[in-house]
Amino acid sequence: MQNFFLFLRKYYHLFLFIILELIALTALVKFNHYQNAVFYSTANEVSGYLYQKKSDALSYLSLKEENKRLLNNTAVFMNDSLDNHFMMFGTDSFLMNDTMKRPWFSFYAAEVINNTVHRKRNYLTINKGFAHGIEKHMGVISQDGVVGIVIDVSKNFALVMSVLHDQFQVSPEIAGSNYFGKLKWDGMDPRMANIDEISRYYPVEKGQRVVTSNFGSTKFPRNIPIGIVESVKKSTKKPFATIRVKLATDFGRVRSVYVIKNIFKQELQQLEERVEDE
Amino acid sequence: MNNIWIRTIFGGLLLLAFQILVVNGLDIDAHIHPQIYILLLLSLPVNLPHWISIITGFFVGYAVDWFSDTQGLHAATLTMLAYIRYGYLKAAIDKDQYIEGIRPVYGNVENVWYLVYVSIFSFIFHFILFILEDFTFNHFGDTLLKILYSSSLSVLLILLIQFTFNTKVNND
Repeated sequence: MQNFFLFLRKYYHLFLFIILELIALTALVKFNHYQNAVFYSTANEVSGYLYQKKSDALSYLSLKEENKRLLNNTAVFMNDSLDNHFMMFGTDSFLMNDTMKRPWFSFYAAEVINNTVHRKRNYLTINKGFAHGIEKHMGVISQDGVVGIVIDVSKNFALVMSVLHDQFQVSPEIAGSNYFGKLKWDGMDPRMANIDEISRYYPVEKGQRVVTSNFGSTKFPRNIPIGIVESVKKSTKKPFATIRVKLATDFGRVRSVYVIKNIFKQELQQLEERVEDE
Repeated sequence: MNNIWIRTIFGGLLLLAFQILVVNGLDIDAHIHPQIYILLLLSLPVNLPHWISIITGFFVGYAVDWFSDTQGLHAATLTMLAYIRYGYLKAAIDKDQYIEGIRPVYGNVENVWYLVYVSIFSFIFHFILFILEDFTFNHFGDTLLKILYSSSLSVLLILLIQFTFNTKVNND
């Protein structure tokens, strides 16, 4: 027993080191299969507050650009896309009707207060939380296109998994063709992503638009832009073409976003669960 | 004595804020992510008990993780760095200086010694950090570039910080 204590005393640095290292590595590995720890992310109230302050201070720098973008956007709305079935409900959230002329999705406006693009797994922090109606698994878009999915919510902030994340999933569709595949970011260039699982026999060309499809996603409305086809590589050895897409959203400068609530999500889920039960 | 500790803690907090709010926001290239906050750990007194520097490493890393959604990544790396630093200092610094308990900062030690010290630890840190972050050897070339660019830039920034702010501390 005496020897055991001596042994511990002599090597306690090593044990301390191993224990702390294990704690950190466990956290690291757990976070890879994301997660339930809003306390330990930028969506917690402390770091959220800090980033909000930073964002407030810096937002003046991009006011001009933001203004221009908003004007452009208003013009687009007024011109064609949403002629009569677009309603404003206050300034903070609004409803958009789809072609059935019944509201299907409602939108919450939010502001990005922290954002990374150059990591392997990138996240955005936005300044709306469950106090404003944001829930987990909601889709997030900007005026330009798809941004990500909410993965964690605190009272006033939410953590969004960006498209630039190896676990992000959305099913894209080549606009107007019904060919859908799987979008994947390769972890290097924050402006580009790849689409897998579109057969090499489909005639996909450079310059075609890539949008969200209805297939397998209750998070995004149909036809939200994802990007533009930049190049198509076909090899006779592989059944699928490798399609490189230039992303519509400029992740480096995304500031204002909309969080999407699917009004029928519960109904859809209940239906699917009922089918699974039988 | 007291003065030095207050200055260390205050300076450390400033350095962390600088890392989190400014350096992490740098958007130069996918290969450049300098982590200059390791200066905080590197400047701890040489004869600080080993367990204190390990715990400091853990919590400072944890704090950075907290603000950048990389749970455990920086904590694991900085803890390891603290562990290695102890052995390195024991072997590489004079007995007298060790007993005196100087802080290994610019001006307190020889310039070449300092440059080697910062370069080695900056390289080790970025090496472990990016290997852990990528968790795969698929893009090893890119990872290696990232390690080289980021650690060199960190060394440069750390030296600049030391030249700027470390002129008076030497007299304490």
